[in-house]
Amino acid sequence: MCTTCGCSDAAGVLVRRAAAGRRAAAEQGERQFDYRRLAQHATHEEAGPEERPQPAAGGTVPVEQEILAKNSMLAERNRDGFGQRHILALNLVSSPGSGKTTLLERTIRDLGHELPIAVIGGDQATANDMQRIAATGCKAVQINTGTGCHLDADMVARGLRELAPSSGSIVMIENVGNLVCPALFDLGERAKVALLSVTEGEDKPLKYPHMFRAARLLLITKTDLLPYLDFDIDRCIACARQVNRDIEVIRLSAKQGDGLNLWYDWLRTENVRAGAGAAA
Amino acid sequence: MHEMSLAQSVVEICAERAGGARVRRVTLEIGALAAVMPDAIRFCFDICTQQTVLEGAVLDIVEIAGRGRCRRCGSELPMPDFLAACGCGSIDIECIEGEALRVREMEVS
Repeated sequence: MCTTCGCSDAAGVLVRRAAAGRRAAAEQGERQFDYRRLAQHATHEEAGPEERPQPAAGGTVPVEQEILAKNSMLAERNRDGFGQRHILALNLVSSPGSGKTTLLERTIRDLGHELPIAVIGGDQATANDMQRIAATGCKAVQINTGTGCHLDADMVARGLRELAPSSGSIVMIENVGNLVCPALFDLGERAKVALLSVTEGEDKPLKYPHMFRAARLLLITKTDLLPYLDFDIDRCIACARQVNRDIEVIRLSAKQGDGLNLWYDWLRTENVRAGAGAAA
Repeated sequence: MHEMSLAQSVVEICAERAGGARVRRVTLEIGALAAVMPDAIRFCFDICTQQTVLEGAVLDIVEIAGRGRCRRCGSELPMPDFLAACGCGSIDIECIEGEALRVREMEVS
């Protein structure tokens, strides 16, 4: 592993621009994608020996450094970039299968004419999700984390270079489906948005408290299925507020459309705030 | 398993600070509420240190207990998890300690 930047951590990571739909991908094969083996080492191999740190003297050396300091620094860099370009960046987190991609497809179709949306999606493998997103006509970049269980700020920075989102747009970062690890990694987003579908347990916020503490908004999805389930939505909200008293909650069905107006209003408001924050 | 990423960051931080010297021991502070398993960090540390100046280094983990402060009555209380309740009946508890994820110090030779 490169001890300057930890490059090997990213060696198994692929960033690729998604094509619109599986059929197009099948017809045009892998050339359809701009595969990029991520750049390794080049910048710091240029550093001369005089720039390398001097060996520490023997004995105990105080370090006092946050383990996540580098990720936090890169996340701030992403955040600055979003701010300068008046981009609202959101980090969508949930279990696998809660409906992140379906909600994004619907949101882009309903709102894309009003608010340009671009998407970075993280999965361990396949470009399936971002092909679905690209089929809506918006820009989408797939990051495959390989064995990794979360996106980090560096992966998002690389994804952003490929995505090149326009000023004033919304960047949705669809994180790897996982309620544990993504809670720890700031990507530079304005807010984490957690999704929880009604086919999951209503006590999930208690079981995975870190994620629901880190989220600003909880979207309870697939509410059209409620008549067929014993899901107690009020208890779910109470569980979420037990670990995060300030969490906002919207109930919606991307399939039937219920509650989507509330989600869209939330996006509009945050988008204005993101723009105003950058101008201030 | 995010512990692998964290262990790699620890190796990175220490190797950079060591500047080529051998690192013999690393001390981490890990809060009980930091969503990190010390055993998983140990496992990953042994893998990540291979072929680095940290290879063979001893890993000490100081676990920091969770503490909270009740937002209603102001009392401080142990916070083993995020579901702690205050004696006054409130469950509105602010976490004041136990989320650390820090490299405290290292020994080099």
